[in-house]
Amino acid sequence: MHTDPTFSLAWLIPLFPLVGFLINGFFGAKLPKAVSGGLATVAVFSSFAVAFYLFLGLTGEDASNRIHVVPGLSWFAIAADPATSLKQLAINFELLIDPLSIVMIMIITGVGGLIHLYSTAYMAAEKNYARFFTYLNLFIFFMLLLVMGNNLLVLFVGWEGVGLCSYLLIGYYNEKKSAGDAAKKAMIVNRIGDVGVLIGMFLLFQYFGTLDFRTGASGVIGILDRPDLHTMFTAGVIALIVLMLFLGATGKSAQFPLYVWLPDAMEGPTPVSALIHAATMVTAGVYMLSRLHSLFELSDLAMTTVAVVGIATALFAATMGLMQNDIKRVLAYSTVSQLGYMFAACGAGVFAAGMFHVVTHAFFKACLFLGSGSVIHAIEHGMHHKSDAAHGDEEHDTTHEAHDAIPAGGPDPHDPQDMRNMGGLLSKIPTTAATMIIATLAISGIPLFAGYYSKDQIIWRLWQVTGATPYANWIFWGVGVLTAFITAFYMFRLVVKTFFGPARSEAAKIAKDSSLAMLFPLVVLAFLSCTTGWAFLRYEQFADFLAPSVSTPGYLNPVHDANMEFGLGLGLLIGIVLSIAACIGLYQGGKKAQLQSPEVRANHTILSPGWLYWVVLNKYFVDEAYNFWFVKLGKIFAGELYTGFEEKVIDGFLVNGIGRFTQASASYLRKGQNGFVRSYALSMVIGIVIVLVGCLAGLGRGW
Amino acid sequence: MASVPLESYLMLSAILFCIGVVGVMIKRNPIVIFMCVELMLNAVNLTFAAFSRYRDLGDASGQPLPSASHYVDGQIMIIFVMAVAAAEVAVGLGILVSIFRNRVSINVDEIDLMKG
Repeated sequence: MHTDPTFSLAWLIPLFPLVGFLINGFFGAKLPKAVSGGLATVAVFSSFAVAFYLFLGLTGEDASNRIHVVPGLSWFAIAADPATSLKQLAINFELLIDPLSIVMIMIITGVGGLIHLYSTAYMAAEKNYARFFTYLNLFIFFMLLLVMGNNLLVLFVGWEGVGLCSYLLIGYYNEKKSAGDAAKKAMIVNRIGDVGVLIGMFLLFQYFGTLDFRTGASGVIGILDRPDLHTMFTAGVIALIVLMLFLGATGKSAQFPLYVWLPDAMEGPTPVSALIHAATMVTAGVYMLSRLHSLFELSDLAMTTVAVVGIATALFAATMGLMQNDIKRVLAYSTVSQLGYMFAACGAGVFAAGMFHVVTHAFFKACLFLGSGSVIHAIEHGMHHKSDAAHGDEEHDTTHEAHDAIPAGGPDPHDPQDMRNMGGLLSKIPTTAATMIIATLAISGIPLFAGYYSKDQIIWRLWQVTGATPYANWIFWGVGVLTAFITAFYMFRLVVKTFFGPARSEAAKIAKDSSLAMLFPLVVLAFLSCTTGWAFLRYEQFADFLAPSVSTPGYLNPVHDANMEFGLGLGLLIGIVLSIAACIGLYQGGKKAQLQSPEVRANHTILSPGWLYWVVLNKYFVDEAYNFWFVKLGKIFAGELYTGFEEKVIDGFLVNGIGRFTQASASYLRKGQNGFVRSYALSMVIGIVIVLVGCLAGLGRGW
Repeated sequence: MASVPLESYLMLSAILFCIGVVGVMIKRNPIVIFMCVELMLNAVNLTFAAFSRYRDLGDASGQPLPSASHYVDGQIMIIFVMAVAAAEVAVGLGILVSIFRNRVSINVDEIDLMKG
């Protein structure tokens, strides 16, 4: 805990994107495209400059001094009442600058800035250019709030804010129904997780009385210091709290069973996929786990759940990635899979390794997504060119079509995202191809590329998992390794199908590389993808820097067995290389079949078309199962409620019942209103007599 | 001095009141009803006068009260009641004239506009 006036500068970091959002939001439509896009980009890079300055400040300090709470406003406070022993809820709008948050801030603003720059070129042809940058800046603002807030409630504000921006940006092409549906799906699936976060926060406040991350000795992070920890709180309560929070993380970070929204989120523009659905927002769950690591470490059950969900998602999503033909969907499943690795690392207790993978993944996955955007752009350009030549001024639909995974008679020839329309692009778009191949080597885990250092670290740590069952670490390690093989395979499948072999469509033959504003971020990210981990930011350095934020002293006692680590690492590497070789062999070998008639091309598969292929191709029918169990049964349930409860009980009994009762009682009471003055007089007299008799009787009894 | 006891006045007053009540309930001519109402009011006036008078005479044991002044509250109330009754009759008769002009009858059983 340390306060330093320099760190008040941290307020500038979220301020720049907020200003950019306000200017673009109110005046963007009137501004020239260069101004609104440039403004948004400059705002994010300004934040990056401030963040980098603070980062340099942090690296110069001792481990114990690396945590700074930047004082802010008192948001609200509900005062305690000592008489009724009500707890006090005081929420301050403070910022927390520590190694964990500064790493996230630098990813968000650094990678985010590059993606903004890329977008200025990628979105240049769009009508609603300013709207796009408005949302993008708003997203950066909320994401910064999420990682900078010093308590769970500020985090939750950011959490919901990025969810909103994700919704808005997935549905950016709002004239397309599939985009709207995907946006709604993302929103609804995330709601399920967010309910978990809310319940977790309620329980946390109920039992710990605070939501702060750092407030001296107390606060969520500081609860380990409490002497009454093990007497006051049962393990069950803590397990419930962290599992609820983890439910939120599975929603935001697209883990099983709430991952279904992420592949559909690819309906958004490609820079959005790179920024929100690869580099930043989806890692928010990993950030939250790391931020609350001391809480998660209290519950073995929760940690095991995190690890199992993570590693299962990694494998599950990787197999689904094998069969996709849409270039962005391959990357989407790959993202889900890599996020699974991060959660597995968190579950194994090595939050630093998880965060390291967040960093390297942000570099290579953003590079891959931006590269795929560049490819799509090139193909679209080719399609425009071709249709212009063929049909003169006739309008041609080249919008990003919703792509169905099931190849009903081959690829849609007008789909610029379908890899079956690509091929041979290496010579047409060499810069994009080179950067994507570098990023692919990184994600596959080839040494000297960023992904190797983080993934190798995670898989090695999975070997050291000490579980309840004796061979738990074999299972974790085995699944991790298998996933790494599959990852290498499907990523090289993407590269081979896109860049090598013959061009499989007219558009691919005349594709041209993108402009400099799009290539520059690609080159920067590719450079980072092949230098991080050895040229700078080695894992040990990173873990040391992060240690004050994400490691509990004495929680992990890893075995240092250099021979074992080397042996396992070498085995992993050989396996990866073999699976890459197998992939290249199979797809290059299948070249002839791909060139045959469209029917053969459509049905060409590397596996025999058995039931397994069919099941994986259809993504294990998870969407169909959700559709049946939740959407369809939900609709039936709602329909039954409508006809059975709403119409009969609410309308029939309560609403109309009150009306009928009034009518019926009135028809009896109106008989008393006979209009005869004398009968009214009589009833008055009777009333008076009753009152009098009553009073007299009361008097007689001494009332 | 008080040869007639208070109870007699009260009994007379109650009888007059009951006659008035019965008259209001059974008569159909509003003029007679008004007269019966007057009868009830005057029954009340009689009790006022009687109580006022007997209070002035002394307490339960016949001893004069220490105050030298006479108690006239009851008599004052009687003046009020008479004034209000006169006003009420004026209004009521006005309504009756109006009803007669409209319906050519003032039989209360035929005036049943309030019938539900």
